[in-house]
Amino acid sequence: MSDQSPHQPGARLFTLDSWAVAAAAVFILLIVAGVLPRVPW
Amino acid sequence: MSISITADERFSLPRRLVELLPGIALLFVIGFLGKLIENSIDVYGKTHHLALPKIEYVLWAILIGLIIANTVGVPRIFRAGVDTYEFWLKIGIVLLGVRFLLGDVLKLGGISLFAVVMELGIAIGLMLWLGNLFKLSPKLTSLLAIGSSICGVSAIIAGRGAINARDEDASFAIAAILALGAFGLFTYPLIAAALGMNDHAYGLWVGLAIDNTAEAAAAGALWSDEAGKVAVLAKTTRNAMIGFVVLGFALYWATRGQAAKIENKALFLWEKFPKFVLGFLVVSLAATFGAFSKEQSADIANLSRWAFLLTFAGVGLRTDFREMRKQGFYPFVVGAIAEIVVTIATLIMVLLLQPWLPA
Repeated sequence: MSDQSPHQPGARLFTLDSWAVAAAAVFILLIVAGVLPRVPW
Repeated sequence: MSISITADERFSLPRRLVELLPGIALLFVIGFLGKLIENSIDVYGKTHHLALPKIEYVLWAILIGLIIANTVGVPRIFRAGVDTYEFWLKIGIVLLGVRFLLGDVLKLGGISLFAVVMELGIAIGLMLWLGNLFKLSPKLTSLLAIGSSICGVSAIIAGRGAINARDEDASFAIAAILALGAFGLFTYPLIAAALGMNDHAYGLWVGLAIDNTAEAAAAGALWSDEAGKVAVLAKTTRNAMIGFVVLGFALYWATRGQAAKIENKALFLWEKFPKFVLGFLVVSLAATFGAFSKEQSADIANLSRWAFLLTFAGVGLRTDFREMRKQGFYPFVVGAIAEIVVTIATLIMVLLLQPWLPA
């Protein structure tokens, strides 16, 4: 559950955590903007 | 993690996404199949007036995944996509924030934090003692201690770099944590049912006792939706402590000249802090202050459930019991003894805390 240091060799530009948070933010924005249809479960 | 990319790889992103698609589709098919089985049993019971036990789709999805992984194995074409299960887990946790008002987070999180600190002491102390008793390599013992006290796979990956552990020690520690968690998935609900635990107590227990975040979320969700919520919150509280534990072990090995020195401890803690926890808190804050309508909140919550569905399918597919044979018997025994003791200790703790938990 960690981001890798940008100062270490082989540092990652995007980490799993940052991708996940960004993707979740996009989903929320799409829902709030009414772009996504209703999500059933 | 396979979906993380480096600066040099970003130009091949479209190709990488295409590689991920078959595995993601497999996760969806298995998860959805689990839902179909759950619904079919429900409909069959109602149609034939039978009181069949309610078995959540989570269990079916994990069982299907386990059978595939431990018989024919996961074909190569699906592997990259299956490895994204942790990505869906984190999206699911961030979106789950919409179902927690900040007051709930602070109350349950406060109780969880107290229990987590106790659990950390028990798990680390016990694992170090057992590792010494069974004469395991000190770094494998450190990895097992990090993995069993915090958050399984990701903590081990974070710890491996920080203490310069061998790849095979890390691989074993990961296989052991996943396999032991899989046993927990099937035994914890039975124990909880025998003890008559409520949703909150059960969720807190599995969040404290199961090491892998995906398995902890699955164990909670297969009991009930509410238990799944609490399990994720308790486990997320544990995950937030990762930096402190890894820092402690890194400093220990650095003083012995067997790991790099840490110049800036605050930066180290920030780098190890799981950022999705911040995402979860921001979404919870937004929901608390009414940023979403009722329909939007319901949609975000349902999207979180779909993300967890992909995760739970991945849990089964990523658990290969055959990996355990490669490392011998003692490391597994150490892991198993520690897990059993942590399970009992956290169960006692949760039963004592039960009066302070919501009914």
